[in-house]
Amino acid sequence: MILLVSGLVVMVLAGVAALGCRRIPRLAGTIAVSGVLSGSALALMGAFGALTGRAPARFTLSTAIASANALANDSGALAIDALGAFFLLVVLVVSSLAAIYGLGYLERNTRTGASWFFFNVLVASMAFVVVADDGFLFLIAWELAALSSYFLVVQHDERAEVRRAGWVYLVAAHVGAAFLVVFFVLLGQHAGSLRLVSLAGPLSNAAPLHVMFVCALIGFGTKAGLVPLHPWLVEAYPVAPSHVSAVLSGAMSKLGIYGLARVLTLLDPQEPWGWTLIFVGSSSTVLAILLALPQRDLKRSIAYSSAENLGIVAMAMGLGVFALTRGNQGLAVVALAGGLLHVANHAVFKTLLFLAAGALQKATGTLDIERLGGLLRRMPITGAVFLVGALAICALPPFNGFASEFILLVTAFDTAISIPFPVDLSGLIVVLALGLASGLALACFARLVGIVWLGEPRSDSASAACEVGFLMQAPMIVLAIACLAIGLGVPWMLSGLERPIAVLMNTSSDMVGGVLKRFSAASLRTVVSVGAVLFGTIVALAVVRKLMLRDREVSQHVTWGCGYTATSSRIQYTGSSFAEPITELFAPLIPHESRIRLPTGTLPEAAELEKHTLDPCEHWLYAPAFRTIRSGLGSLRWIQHGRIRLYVLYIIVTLLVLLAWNVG
Amino acid sequence: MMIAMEPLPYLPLVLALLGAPMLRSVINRTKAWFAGRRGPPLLQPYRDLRKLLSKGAVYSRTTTWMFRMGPAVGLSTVIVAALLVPMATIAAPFAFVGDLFLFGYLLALGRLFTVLAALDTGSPFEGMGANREVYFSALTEPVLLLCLATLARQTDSLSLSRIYPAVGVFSWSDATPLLVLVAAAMLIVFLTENARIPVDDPTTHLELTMIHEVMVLDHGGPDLAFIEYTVALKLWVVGQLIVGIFVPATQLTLWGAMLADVVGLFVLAVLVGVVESTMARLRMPNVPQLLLGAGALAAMAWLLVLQVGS
Repeated sequence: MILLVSGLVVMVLAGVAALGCRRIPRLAGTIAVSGVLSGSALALMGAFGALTGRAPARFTLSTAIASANALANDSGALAIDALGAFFLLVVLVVSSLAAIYGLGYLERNTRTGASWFFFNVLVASMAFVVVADDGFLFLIAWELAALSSYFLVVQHDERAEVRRAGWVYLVAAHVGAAFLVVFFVLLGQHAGSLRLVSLAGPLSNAAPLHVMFVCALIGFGTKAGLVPLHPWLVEAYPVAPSHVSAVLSGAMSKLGIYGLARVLTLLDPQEPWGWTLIFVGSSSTVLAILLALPQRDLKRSIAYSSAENLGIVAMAMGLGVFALTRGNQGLAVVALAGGLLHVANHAVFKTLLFLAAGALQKATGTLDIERLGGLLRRMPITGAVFLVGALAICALPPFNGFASEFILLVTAFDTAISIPFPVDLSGLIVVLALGLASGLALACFARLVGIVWLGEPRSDSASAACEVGFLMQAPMIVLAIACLAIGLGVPWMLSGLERPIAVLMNTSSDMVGGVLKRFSAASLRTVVSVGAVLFGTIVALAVVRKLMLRDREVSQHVTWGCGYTATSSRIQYTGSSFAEPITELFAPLIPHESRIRLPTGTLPEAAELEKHTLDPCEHWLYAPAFRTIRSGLGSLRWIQHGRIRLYVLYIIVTLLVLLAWNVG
Repeated sequence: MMIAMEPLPYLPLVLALLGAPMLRSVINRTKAWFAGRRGPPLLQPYRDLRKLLSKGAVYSRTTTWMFRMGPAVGLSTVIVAALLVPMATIAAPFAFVGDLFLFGYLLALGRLFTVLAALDTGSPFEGMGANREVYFSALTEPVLLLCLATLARQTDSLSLSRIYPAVGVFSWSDATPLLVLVAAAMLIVFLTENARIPVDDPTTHLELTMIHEVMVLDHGGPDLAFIEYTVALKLWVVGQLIVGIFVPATQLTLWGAMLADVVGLFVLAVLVGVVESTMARLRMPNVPQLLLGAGALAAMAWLLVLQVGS
């Protein structure tokens, strides 16, 4: 535990040092990144024991000073168990890789030092969130993470849309936190303590469990970006520097899932929560990927797909809750394993995609996919890793995304077969949502890969692009290898989840381990061997093709244009046309704004068509709600008129009222 | 888990590899018969493949390795998918809990690479075809999963190699309407997946109206041979999922069931030919309605299975 805390302290100190030498940006970056790396290494060494199965470790200030017997009940304590250690691993690995990338990515100016300071504080505070044993400390760390990430998001605050995104983010983070405060107050009231990790046991039925769950779901769901709580995320992720977007999506959104998982250990799971999670999860999954499809901004599209993937995790938790309430332990283990695995997988491939998008932006200066194209030739490494990330996120075998979606689909089918009506319908909902979402994800990422990386460049900046430096490439290559390694190594890696799941279900890790082992033997190992056979077949066919073409005439020519070979890259299919038919089919779910100027008269002038897809939650829910609030508050404007004398009068009147109240 | 080591489970794969192009001849012959023509010889697809395999290739200057990878990956996915599908009472070489999902996702992998190879050419026509392909397949995927979920619930198992032998035995006596609905929905999935009328017309002459054919316009030589062979194999492999519902495999001897399976596939090919000769391709905006209709059929089947189960 000492190791863990000192690791986090190192991180913060390195951040402060980076702030101190902000005049020498290169030095500031190096200090900060080495702080993150060494701090993460120390912290993970400290957390290793918890993941591999020692009892939860607790740390208080008194243990640091006296290293004596820790008091059982003091507040301000940190603790780590297997569940926390799992999330700590995800957070720190993502942050470390993003930090290395950031060293090559951030332009070096006087703001760099401050940026690194906030980055290190963000990483340390995220780590504090998962090791906080005390609700109060948890909230402080949570708030610290929100604030430091806000300053990172608004780094380019000279642009108006960045300021707007930062504002939306700040509001959303605090509305979410407000619900968490309510949750913790209720928890403290009914459990008698605010302990999160080293708790005595789940809360009994006497407490207002449903109210607490809803508060937690809103609070944590906001951070995870579940629909309809996602609009902040699609504003904030795209405008942040890319290594920060990667941390926000890869690591910080997972804290929402961590919180929800913790809630399931604190409160006894109830069946209606299963329905809530399935409903929220499936609507997140489908709606978010539908909205990811028509976006022109590459990072915005990837941000939407973040909400989709966390929806998948929520569905897994919903199936887990159903299995738990029905006493089907085996099914619950597999469902939660699928969920946690998807957390790790999403951290890997989403970080990869954001980093690749950042590299693209650095090389071309734009994220507008209609101005890109043909970049695979110009940036072969970044293009290849982006393709790997896309394959993984579309859940295609043999990459890691498939492993977790496969586990989830098996669980859902099993639920649909073996659990009686009406819970079996939840399994069916998950199957349908996943089926639809994976088809749409395929469309979405075929569009992103095809329009951005393939074909001919659509602008001068795209055709002038060249590959980014090694510092930026290395983390992306590591993540791409991880996508394949997890996909092929999943039967063996699953045993690493045994203790986190045991904590989550409050049962013995032997039982969990047994279930996971049987499941691996029954299907995952064969899935992996089929993946290996697939790989072998592809290589074999590629070799056969190469041998066949060896001695023959192979020539180069222009693309066959069906008789029309105008050599302009603008005749290529566009991203907007690629998305249009699908968004048209789902038009009732996706509002849009369009402006048409039709050609009129005998000699028509230029015609125009402009169409913008809007976010349904923002358009139909938040925008009207915030407009109402603003006009409501506007009617109180008369109080604020600028006359100092009357303001003084307000103060005096308030004082008198309070005095009277106190005396009376 | 089961990975077969003896030769018998691999026999269906050999049959598929050898017989798949013949399905295309049967479809062509049926269409020729309807049109009053003689039609090409039955071995024509094999001759076409040999001819293509012996040619060189011309590549567009725009394309990258993605374009060259596409056909090889597409063919590999279908071959590996064939390793998951049982035939008669012979379990597939790879039979395990959840193999049906792997089957669906393997086809999706092949589709993505075909689509990316098409987009790699930068041709607007190929982009259009790619777009339609991902659009319609996004709608067929849930239908296929729903059909398989219905069969899984009916037979209480989660592996194709258990579902199919079980369907043929007891289900037809007590769940006929359900199986008819599933088969109808799967037939639509089959036609969409294989780019046949009424969703796509493989013989149309106008690039603007194509889906699959327009995506492979720029491929030639061995690459095109791979693609043509993939198309044939996909007919065979996905067709087996439909034929398997109708063949009461456990009631027959092993060889009888195999024969019934193969005959069933050719009957399916004749059926495809009949559909192509008697129907026009749907207008593109109407295709989603057809697929949603298939979804509705599958949903009704699911409701029936709920009733049977309870």
